[in-house]
Amino acid sequence: MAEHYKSIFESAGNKLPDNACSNLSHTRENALSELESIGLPNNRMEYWKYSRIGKVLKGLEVNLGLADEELSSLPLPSSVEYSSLSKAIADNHPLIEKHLGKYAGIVNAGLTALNTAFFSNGIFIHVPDDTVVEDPIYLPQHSANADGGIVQPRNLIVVGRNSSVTIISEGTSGSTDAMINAIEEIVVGENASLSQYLLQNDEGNSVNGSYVLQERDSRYSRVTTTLNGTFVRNNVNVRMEGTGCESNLYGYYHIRGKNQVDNHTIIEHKEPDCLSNELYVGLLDEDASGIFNGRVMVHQDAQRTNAFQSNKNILLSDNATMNTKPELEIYADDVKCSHGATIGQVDQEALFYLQSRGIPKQIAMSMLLQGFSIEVTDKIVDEDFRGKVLEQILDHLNTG
Amino acid sequence: MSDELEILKEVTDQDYKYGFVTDIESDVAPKGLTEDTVRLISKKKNEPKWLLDWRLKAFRHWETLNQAPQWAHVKYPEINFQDIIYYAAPKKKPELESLDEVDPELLKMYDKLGISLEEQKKLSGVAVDVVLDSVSVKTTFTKKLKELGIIFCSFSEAVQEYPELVKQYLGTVVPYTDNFYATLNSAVFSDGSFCYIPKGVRCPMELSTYFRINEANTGQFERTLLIADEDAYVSYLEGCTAPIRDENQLHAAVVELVAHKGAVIKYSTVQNWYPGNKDGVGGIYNFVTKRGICKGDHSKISWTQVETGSAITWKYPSVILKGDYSVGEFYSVAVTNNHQQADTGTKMLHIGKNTMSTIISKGISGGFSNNSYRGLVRIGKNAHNARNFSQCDSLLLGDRCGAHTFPYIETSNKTAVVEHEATTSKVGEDQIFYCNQRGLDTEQAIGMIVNGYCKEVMKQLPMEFAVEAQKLLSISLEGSVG
Amino acid sequence: MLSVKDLKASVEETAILKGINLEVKAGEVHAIMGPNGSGKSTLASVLAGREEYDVTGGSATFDGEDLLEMSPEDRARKGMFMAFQYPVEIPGVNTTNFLRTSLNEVRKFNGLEPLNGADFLKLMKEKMNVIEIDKSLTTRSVNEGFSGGEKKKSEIFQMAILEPKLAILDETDSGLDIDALRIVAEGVNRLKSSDNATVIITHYQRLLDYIVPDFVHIIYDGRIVKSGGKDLALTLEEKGYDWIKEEFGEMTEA
Repeated sequence: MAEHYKSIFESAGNKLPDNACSNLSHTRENALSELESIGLPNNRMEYWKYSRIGKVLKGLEVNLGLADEELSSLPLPSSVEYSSLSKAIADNHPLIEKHLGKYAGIVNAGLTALNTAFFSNGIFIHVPDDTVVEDPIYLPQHSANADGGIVQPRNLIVVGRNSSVTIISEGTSGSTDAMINAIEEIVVGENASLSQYLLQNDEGNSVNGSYVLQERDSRYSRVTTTLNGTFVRNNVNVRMEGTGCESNLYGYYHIRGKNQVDNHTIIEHKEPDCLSNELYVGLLDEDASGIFNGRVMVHQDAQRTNAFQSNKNILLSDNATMNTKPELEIYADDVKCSHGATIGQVDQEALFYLQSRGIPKQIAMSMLLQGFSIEVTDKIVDEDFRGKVLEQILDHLNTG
Repeated sequence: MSDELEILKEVTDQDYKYGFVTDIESDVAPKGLTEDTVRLISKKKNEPKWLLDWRLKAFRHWETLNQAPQWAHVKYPEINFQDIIYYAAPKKKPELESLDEVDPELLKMYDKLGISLEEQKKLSGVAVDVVLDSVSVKTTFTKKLKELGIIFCSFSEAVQEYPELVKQYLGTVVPYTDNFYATLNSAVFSDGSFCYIPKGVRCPMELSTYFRINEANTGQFERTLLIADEDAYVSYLEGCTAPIRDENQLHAAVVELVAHKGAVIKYSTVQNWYPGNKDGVGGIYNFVTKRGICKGDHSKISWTQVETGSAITWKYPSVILKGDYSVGEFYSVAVTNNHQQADTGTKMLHIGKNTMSTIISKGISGGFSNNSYRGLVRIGKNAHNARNFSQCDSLLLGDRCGAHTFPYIETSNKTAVVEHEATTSKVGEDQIFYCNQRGLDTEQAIGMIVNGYCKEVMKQLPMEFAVEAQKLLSISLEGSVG
Repeated sequence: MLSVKDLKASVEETAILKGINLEVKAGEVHAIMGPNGSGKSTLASVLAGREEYDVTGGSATFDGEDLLEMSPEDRARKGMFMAFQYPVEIPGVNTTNFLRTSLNEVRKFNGLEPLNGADFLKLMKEKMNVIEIDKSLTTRSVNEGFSGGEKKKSEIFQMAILEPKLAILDETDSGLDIDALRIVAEGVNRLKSSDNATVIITHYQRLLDYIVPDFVHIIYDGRIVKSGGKDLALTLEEKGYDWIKEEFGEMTEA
């Protein structure tokens, strides 16, 4: 197996973007040897326990697709740097050397190692210090190209000091005989603010790894909505490396068919006086299965941490399943942490109440279920995008 | 019967064939674990062949497991399983007629712990079965229980007297393949308790066993089997204390509970084994498998535990809710101080319809200790209208300790309602100062606040246990706050 | 009984008490009044031994012993009682049990035998007649879910049980309606004797309608700027705190 990846790597040779002055080739080699030693994930690994990753990966080869990301032209302040990652690498951009590969930990993370070893392209965004970007930046979709296999897109987003930006991505469209293995590394600078909204409403398999580094007094907010996807795994890792950070992770999922959605979050409180909030709510219908694994770690120096985490689920069918595991790991004493998880059903009293007011059961049901999502969708500040998400949520509810 | 004797003879002969030095009168088996060790234990206990075979199956399975489980949030040096003595028994003594005949050394130890047998005996309605280094020394109140048809005796005795009952239930809740330590226990268990409550009988007294680990370097492998037949009721108390030891001692017990239709089993534990010294040297490794099955409809199993001892605790008293309308409960207080490590919790496996489970877990950590709650709530596909409520709170008493929560919730039935809540907080300085201002010193104050914090669990304990447990909580937190 | 001399204290390097002088003798009732932020509650906290406050100068003795050297619990055992402005809730700790432990600690310290359960319940019953307090409060957890009034009443009830030599009431009247105020005040009056003393810390004059002080002190910017008899309180009530600020504001600015 080890030889397997190595030979692919050698065959790819100098096709993978590289730059002389950075340690990128070294980083890739490290990732390759990590990949050789641990291999790709399987269900025996604790963090892939309920996942169908094994089935998805079966027979899939590493895809070395080098398709250029199409960049939309946006009314961005001219100071914002926005290019393909390969161009930034080719240009020897100093931020590449500084950040690329520094946050996406490869230890015991086979897919991240795979991406790091083989990524060919993606997006590079740099919002310089003291820049407020008014309009949201829409990222292009990652897509699996015709060859299938495991595709490795890679993004690097750096938000400078005191800056503020909203980034929206819609979907990672793949196909069932391919898997997108996307990694993004995000740096939220001192006192900066980043809001990230994601809408996943496409077929196919994807594993989306986000590694967020927060510097002091920064704010990071993320709302992920998942409505479709044969297999969607979202790994969000947030590391608060400075005091006074705030981090908000929200998610809504409503899936059916035999789809599986798997949200894994890790929030690391490393410094004092930080706040994290996490709320994931979801509906599982038909034969769908859901997984939530939220892990909050409070390190010894992170005194006066406030961390809240909640995962709420409704099963809508006899064959749907939900596995949830909200974890707290705490090594500091002056903390306020709580987590909760519920799995239940639609409040029958409320349903009856609406019906008794003349509302047909189907509509009453979808009203109640939509209400369930509001807590999350309300967190999308951008009105246009929120409207779009709400519309799709409703469509999805009504086509059930 | 004569067949059995034949078999026994054969087995006995075999031992010699294997060249084992088997002095039946000797108290301690040589170090290490081989098939011979298993045969020796079985022979010493004069066990029937089926039991020896079962032990051997377990042993052979254990040999295939090359590693003790690693997933728990605990750290300890690898255990050399060949460096452990797997059998130790006190010298055979004639049947004791009264407490006067009990070894005065033993009585002294009990006195130190404030739970002297004399006191216990006087306590109304408490039968005490003393297990000392794996073999029951004295069983009291047996006669009175016998009148009701209740069997309460040592495991070995049960094997001799009620082999068909033991055979029927042994390993049905915790199969010998269950996990590394349960497998080990199945191969080498020395003794333990056996209890059977017949149909419709309400056991009028708390059944109580005090376990002690007495001999240095002796692994302890108790096995408890408790069966409550239809509509029976029993409250069982298990208390543990151990004298100070410098070397780590392994304890891998197995407890199996079976509740038939309409039966209720309440199982309470106070665990206060030697936790090691302030620097984390010594102390008991407590790797226990406890599980009950609510076999019949409307049955109920309730676990209550107060865990203050052991260097390492690895324990998940669980309930399989098979019968419809069955109820599982888990109430736990786990205190860790100094360098103690605890990874404890429960599993509630809902299989039957309208099954209900409650989990209340209170973890308290001080010093350099680590305290983890690990629990699983699984709602099976046919467990219609299953309900679970879990509350897992952690209290921190210092800035060098850790509190962790790892709940697993798996649901495959849409009519189920599962709720899990957890909080982590510290003892408020305001609260301590308030108590100081009323004349209580800081340790008293913490003892009081902690006991208050654990009240929901403590009130589940039978009266005489609750008092002891409260004392324990305060004692075990001594020096936890600077 | 209590002798405070030039007491200075600060919290997180900010000086709050800037030289307090106060003499309290047995049988006396002192009222300490002052505007918000003048240092009233800090004084109470320092006397009771709260750790957050650093004593930076001066002295305080209680019955001739150095108070500032004692742990909070020893101060309590020697007979100092503080009725808290915001009594903290202690979930799960039964009030009766708490009080019995507390009383027995005080008794033990003073060489007395601890009270057994029966005797203690008798004492509680007796004190319940002195302080009009709902019996149910004693069966609940300490202060948990108590209304503001109930908390304050419970403080006075605890005081009745512990029979301190010196009671410091820290804004015990704030947040009380007039009925609760009367009950609290009557309780304090009944517990008064020639052997004990009371220090009332308050922002409002109205408590002093019910508990008549022998001395009134006005604290402002960390110092007692004016002392007098009960009339001083009335003057304050009439003129408010502004005249104090006008009269003494400049001095402290300097």
